[in-house]
Amino acid sequence: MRLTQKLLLLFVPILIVTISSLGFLSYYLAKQHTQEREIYLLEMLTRQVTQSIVKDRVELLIQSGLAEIESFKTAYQNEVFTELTKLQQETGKSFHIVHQPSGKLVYTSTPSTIASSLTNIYWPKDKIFFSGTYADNNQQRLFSGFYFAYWEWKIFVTESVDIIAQPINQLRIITVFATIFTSLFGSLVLWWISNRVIIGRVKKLKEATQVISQTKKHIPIAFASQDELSDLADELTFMSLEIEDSIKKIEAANRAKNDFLATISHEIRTPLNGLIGSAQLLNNTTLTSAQHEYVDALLKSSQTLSSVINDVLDLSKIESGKLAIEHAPVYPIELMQTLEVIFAKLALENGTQLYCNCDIDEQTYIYSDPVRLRQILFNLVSNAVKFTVQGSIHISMKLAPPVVKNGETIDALDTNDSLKNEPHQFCISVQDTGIGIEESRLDAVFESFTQSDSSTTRNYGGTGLGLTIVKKILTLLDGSVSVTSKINEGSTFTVIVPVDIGISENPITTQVLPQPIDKASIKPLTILLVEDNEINTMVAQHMLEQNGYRVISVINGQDAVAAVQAHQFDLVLMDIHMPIMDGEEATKQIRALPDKRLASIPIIGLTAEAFAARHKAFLAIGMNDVITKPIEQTRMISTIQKVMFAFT
Amino acid sequence: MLSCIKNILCCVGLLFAFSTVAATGSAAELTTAPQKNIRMNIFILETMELPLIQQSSEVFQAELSQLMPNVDFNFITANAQGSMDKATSLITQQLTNGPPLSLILSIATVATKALVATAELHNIPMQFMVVSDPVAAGVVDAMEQTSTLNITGIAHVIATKTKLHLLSQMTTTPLRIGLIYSDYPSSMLAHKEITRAALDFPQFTFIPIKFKLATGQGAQTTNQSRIVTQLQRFRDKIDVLWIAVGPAAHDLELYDVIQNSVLTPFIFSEDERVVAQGAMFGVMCDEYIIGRSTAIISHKILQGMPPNAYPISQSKRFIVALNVTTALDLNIVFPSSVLSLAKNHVYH
Repeated sequence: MRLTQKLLLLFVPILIVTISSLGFLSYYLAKQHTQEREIYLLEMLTRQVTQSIVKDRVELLIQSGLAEIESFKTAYQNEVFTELTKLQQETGKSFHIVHQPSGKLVYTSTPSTIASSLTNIYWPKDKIFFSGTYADNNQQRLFSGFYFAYWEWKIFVTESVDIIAQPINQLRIITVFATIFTSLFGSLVLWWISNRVIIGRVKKLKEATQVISQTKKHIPIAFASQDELSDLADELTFMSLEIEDSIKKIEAANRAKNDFLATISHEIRTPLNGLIGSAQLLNNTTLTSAQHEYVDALLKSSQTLSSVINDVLDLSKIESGKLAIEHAPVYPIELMQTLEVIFAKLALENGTQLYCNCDIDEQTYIYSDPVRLRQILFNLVSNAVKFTVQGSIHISMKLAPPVVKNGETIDALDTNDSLKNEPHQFCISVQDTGIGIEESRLDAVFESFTQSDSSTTRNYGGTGLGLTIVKKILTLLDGSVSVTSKINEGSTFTVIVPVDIGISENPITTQVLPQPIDKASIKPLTILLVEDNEINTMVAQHMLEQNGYRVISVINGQDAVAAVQAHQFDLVLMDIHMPIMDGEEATKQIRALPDKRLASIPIIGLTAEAFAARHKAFLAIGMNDVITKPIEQTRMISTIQKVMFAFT
Repeated sequence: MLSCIKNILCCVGLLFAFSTVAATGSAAELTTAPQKNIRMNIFILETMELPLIQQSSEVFQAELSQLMPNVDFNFITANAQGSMDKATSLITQQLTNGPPLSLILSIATVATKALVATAELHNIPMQFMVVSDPVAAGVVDAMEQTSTLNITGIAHVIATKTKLHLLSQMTTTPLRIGLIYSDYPSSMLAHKEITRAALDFPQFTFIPIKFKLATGQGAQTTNQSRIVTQLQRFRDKIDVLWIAVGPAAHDLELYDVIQNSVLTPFIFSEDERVVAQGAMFGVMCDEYIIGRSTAIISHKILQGMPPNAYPISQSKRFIVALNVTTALDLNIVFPSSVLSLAKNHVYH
């Protein structure tokens, strides 16, 4: 409930009660006033009656010397009675005369009047005029009386209290309407005041907090008046200042961490590149079986180390929010074929059979992040391969029915054009017959650095980050992952990703990387290798030369720029971090060469930096492609071929 | 309120009258008396010697002198002794031998008739008062009209219906009323009017008792005797007496004469003094109302306004006089509406 509503809910009842009370008080006072006014009118009438009807006659009799003549007295009293009867007809008031000494009702204009009701009225002795209320025939009446001493008469003018009922009823209605109107008007005024004085300022504070939460920057908030809200504004201003400072510190720390990660990654990948490259080169030489076994172990350890570094970097990127999700068409069938190519052989090495089943036709594609989807599947399938010996792995993909619209379920695979870009669920299942996971550990497998059993790491290796990365990436994709498992029976990981689908009119040509290199197809290119690390230079040079390339190497960017101008090269492989002149500057200078032919020479970056942002920066300054260390021979050669193909 | 105003006017009139009389008597002694630079001769012709006529004449003279203090009035008064011939003779004589007149004022019907009869002999402004019926007197064709002659005046006799209406307010008891009237013109006229008006008041039965009006020396006693004689004839046929307009109505001895002889109570009189003597009620213009209202018109005529510019009208001022003793004797109670009209004219 909004603050305005709460304030209104709080104040409006108070307002209504207050105004109603005032209204009731006003009504009560007005009722009293009406009654008093009516009695006053009765008094006036009594005075008038007494003076003009009674006193004037008596004075006339006295002046004429007839006051004591009984016949005149009686006649004139009868005249008074006649006049009062006429007056009763004209005014509707009742007139009564009580003879004081006898208490006898000598005249009444209303025959139903009970004499005792009048004679029993308490009348103070010192009062000539007296007024009030009395009951006659169980009816409350107003009266005004005058004691006329000459004839010892009490002259009463009376009327029913009902006479004031109508104005009082009108008064009641007016009071009710006035109360309602005033309450509504008061509520509006209250709403306006609260909106202006409180809500408006609260909204400003809210907007300021939103800006602070979005920008994390110092926002000065100031109100003209000094009160609790202005104090709150000051506190918020101070808080925003502290947030900005904290954010700056966090950003600095994060930058430091990223710099550290980038540096350490680079520093680890550089020797790792030499290690893996050397091992690969060594493996291509003639070795004894024992030596091959050692070299394989060396390669596996190096690759594991590379994988660990990649996982740590990915996790770091995800947690720092730097992992950007992209959306591009992905053909599930292609994805499945890639998995099959990569993992079928590895599985077979463990005596495990890999079965792939894709229920999605080759024309159908989904919109998602192809890199991250591939990463999820690689992690899951590699786990399945790792933990399954002498068993089977079933990988399946399908599109689940789209979300329900108006109670109708649309067939997921309906290729009708109207279903293009409809939301669907991309379901992936990786089922193995491996070692399985204890039920109590199922939830923990997605936590960082956690495996189902501590012995797992010892027996099977790995950092335990793979499933954590899977879950975090799926969270970014608005998807989910779940697992069912039984010890020694195997595990099933199910991934669901919400996707939009599309139908391609031209089915894709299945392309699976990496393909075995066809050395016959490699043209004898002259490549300038720019690398300051001697081992890496040796590894890269041998890899290239093994594939028929002629290689000339230099050790920094400055030499590279000079070499490009001095010799005829077909392509440059450019390391980034080098002394004297780094790869970026060298690339810029080459691209800035006046000779267009030299300036347009293909350049492929070689870098141990794993962050995508950096790769984009390298492409932006003019590199044609980037190869991440440690260098895999096949990927390097295929990248060279791709670049050269595009160049020609 | 009306009665109050009437009383005030009466009092003021009385005061004026007294002050005028006093001023006349002591004018020679007052060094501050206004200088009278104009002399006017006013001829006043009285019908007969009756207190109302003579006192009205006196009030008129005093009032006019008060209204025109710079005029030296010479009031020439003559009395026709109730005779038309004498009245005519007095006018002719005055026109022939008297000083130039500024105004001729006739008092009562006979004098007024003589004045009208001799109107062609002169062009002197004429005025009348104490005439009950100017139409019958030949002054005007109808009331509230101007006369074709050079004459105007106010009829100082109240309409008969008004009187009967008042009586009907006092009593609803049927009464046999002996109406005493004479062959005097206004008296004859009053008889006719009463007879006609009584048709609207069936509870009152008027029994006409006519006598021949004697004039001249000893006429008052003769008339009293004639009335008593007539009353004795009607004693058993009447409950009360009503003296119609005419000289007899102002005979102040007549009441006692009748009470001493036939004992029939008077229920109405045209003269307040008779009401004071014992008549139960009277509605009339007294000498002050008559004299003053006439003087006011005379003042304007003497200032140059022609008399026939004034319509001849009925007096709007009158007094009601009541006698409580007679009323009680007759078992009649004056209602407050009537009593309030009388106020200072209530007699016991």
